[in-house]
Amino acid sequence: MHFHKIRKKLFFIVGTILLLVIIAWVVSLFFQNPPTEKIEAGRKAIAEAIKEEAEVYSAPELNLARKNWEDAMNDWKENNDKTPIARNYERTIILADSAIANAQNAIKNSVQRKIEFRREIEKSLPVLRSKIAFIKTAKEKLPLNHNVWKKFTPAILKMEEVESAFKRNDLFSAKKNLESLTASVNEIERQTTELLNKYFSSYPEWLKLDAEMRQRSRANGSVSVLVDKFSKKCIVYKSGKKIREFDVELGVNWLGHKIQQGDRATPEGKYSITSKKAGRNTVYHKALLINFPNSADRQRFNNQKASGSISKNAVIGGAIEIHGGGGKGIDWTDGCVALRNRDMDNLYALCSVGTPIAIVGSLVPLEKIFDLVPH
Amino acid sequence: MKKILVQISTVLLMAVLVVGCSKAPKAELAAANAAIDSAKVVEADRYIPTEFNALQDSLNAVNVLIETEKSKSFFSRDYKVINEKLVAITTEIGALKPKAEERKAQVRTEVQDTLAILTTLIQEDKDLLVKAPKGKEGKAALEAIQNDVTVLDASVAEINTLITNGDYLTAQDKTSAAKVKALAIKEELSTAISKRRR
Repeated sequence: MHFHKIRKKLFFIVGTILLLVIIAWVVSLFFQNPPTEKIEAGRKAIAEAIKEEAEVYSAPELNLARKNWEDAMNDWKENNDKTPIARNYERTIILADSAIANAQNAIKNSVQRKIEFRREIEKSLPVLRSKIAFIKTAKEKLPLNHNVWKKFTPAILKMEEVESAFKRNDLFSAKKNLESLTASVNEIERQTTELLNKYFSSYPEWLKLDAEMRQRSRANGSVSVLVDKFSKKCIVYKSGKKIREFDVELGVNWLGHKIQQGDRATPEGKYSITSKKAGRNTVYHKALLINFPNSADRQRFNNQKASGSISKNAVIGGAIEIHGGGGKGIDWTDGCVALRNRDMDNLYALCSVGTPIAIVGSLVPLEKIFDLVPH
Repeated sequence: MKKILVQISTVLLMAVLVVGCSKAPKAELAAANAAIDSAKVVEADRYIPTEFNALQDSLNAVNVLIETEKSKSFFSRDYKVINEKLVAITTEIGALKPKAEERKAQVRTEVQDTLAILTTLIQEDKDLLVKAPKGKEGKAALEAIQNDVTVLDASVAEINTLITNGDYLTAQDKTSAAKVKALAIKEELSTAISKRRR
């Protein structure tokens, strides 16, 4: 009897376990495989994209990958809250697949963009350096405070920034600043080139004036003087030959013609000495007064006044001299031509009232002055 | 009938026991998520991105493990390893916070030190501008230098904005660039002044 009871209990226990196993087996028949592999692949792809700096170089693709992966996770979670039979991972898998594709795109784009950025920066920097060198050379030769140079210092600072960012491998920042830097340098270069080309359009006339000065000195065996503004030289011709050459300093805004009083420009054209000053008659050691304004200067002044490009009350000015007091290493006069006192002594001795003098932009062509050809 | 009822109750009891023993680690997960958020507050993602991203990825991996467990039948769920991982991640993220703060302070100090040097240099440039030869010949040069000093002052304002926004690396680039220019101006003015003295 007792044995019968034990056997019954044993049957009961084994039966219960069997029932549990059968229930579990039946339920598991309706289970879908969880999307673990896909989700894991998405996670790994996103981690790889982050390692490739996709946050910087391919942010939209990476953000899309993250969003799709999070949505896949949320969908998986929602499914897991349901009974196993009701679970459906189809959407989870679609989202995870999208996340993988987006992350792979982000990796590809990131790698590609870094290569492109590096290539572009490496290509642009030498070009910019060359352009900056050209502008610097022009800046050293042209008037110090010309409007063109106002944006030059900010451009130089920006160039340093781009190079720093590039050195620390921050290609994104370097590229970002490179665009504005290139625009700025190109604009300054364009203005500089335009300024020089415009100025040197008078080059043939300058050569003619030089030839005339030589010719006049040759014709009567006398002296004539030529001032070359660009090379800052005063050349003395006698009997058609160059006999002396002195360094000069000019007006602060020497580039171009002198238009009106106070513009601090040194005139250009054909003049002659009208008066010689020494001792108490000049504060600049010795001076040779020239006949500025000549008829061409007056014509130019009147035209500009008529066109409204200068004030109606503007005055043409005068008292342009070749005088001493130079040697300061900078263009500083109000329009006169300044020589060192000892050079002025020599020039003063060579010249007399009536000596012809031409002031020209340059005797050297533009392309020879700037061997740095801008890109 | 009585036997069947006992049998069903036993099955249900066992099921409850199994499910009860393998609950997802909600508290631990919440703690890890909170740790990540607080690391973001101190900008660990910006100042120590490699470490931060690695831990963020580890947390994502644990989330995947949790859901994998949840997907299994309740008989076979096991969160023990996951719990341990979550605790470890939370601890590591906790350690990341002071590290991020330290790095941030270090970068900030570096840029502020350079900025202090730059500000001093600009002030020196301004003082030298006052002392520079004022003659007719120096006027144009001084005007040009004054323009450059104005550009440097504008740079300092930009650098301060970058520091306020926490963009210390860009601020450092700008500061270094401006320092080179400020030094050049100082040299130029010093030379002009010493020439006059001679």
